[in-house]
Amino acid sequence: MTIDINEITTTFSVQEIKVFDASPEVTNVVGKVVWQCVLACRDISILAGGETFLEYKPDQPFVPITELTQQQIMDWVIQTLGGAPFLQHYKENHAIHLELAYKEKNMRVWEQPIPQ
Amino acid sequence: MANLQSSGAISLNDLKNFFGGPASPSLSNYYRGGGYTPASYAVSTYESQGPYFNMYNGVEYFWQRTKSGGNKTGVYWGSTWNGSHQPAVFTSSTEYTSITAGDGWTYVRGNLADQLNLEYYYYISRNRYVTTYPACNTSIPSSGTLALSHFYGAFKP
Repeated sequence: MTIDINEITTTFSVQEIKVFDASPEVTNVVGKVVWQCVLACRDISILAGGETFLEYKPDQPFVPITELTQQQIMDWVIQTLGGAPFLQHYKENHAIHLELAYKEKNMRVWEQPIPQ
Repeated sequence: MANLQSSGAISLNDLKNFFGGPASPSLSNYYRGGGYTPASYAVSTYESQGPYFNMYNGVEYFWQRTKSGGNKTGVYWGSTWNGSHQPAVFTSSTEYTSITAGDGWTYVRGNLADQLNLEYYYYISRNRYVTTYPACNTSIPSSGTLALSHFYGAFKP
């Protein structure tokens, strides 16, 4: 099976967040995100992970962490890593792993002695 | 990306059409770095290195996958071999096919290169986007006197 990049879906999830206080008023600023990504194509999936530092921008509106969603946080992460072009390359770099996983999907370990 | 005309008459309406702006714009809306006239723009460059594999001499480059106990994934990139493996760029108790590290590089597992019992060693490559922010519209003042002639060749990313 040759993987079509456009068939690959990515599902990012936040595993851990590290926060810091920028000032007495601006607290629990998201500074680092540990994340996972499931890349899937048809019935095959592989797992990738990462950790990304986010830059605090005092000139931008501050959203308290309790009002943030995982999607917002992951959008920041992906933007930090390069946005849509990053995602495109990310899929391309994992296509070979999906292809190999697909090839191996219906294989089983030969439990008998290995032929001489 | 686009540029405003470099000769001929420029009007406030031209600035509004080019940069956007309020319903009734004035020239003061278009200072460089203000709400409408960018002072810089983002340029993303893709970098890719590898695949490399080197474990026991010189500089270490490999991806380690452990199938029993301990860390399941280890990323080794550019540390000097001194008789033992130096600290990895990243280790995880989860088995991954790539790791995006805090330095912005995404390290990707490549082909199997070596195997010892339940330890598997792979080629490794890495890639990342580097975003820089070059200055633009440097002929447009950010304060003081502003004239329509300052906007010849103005740039919009």
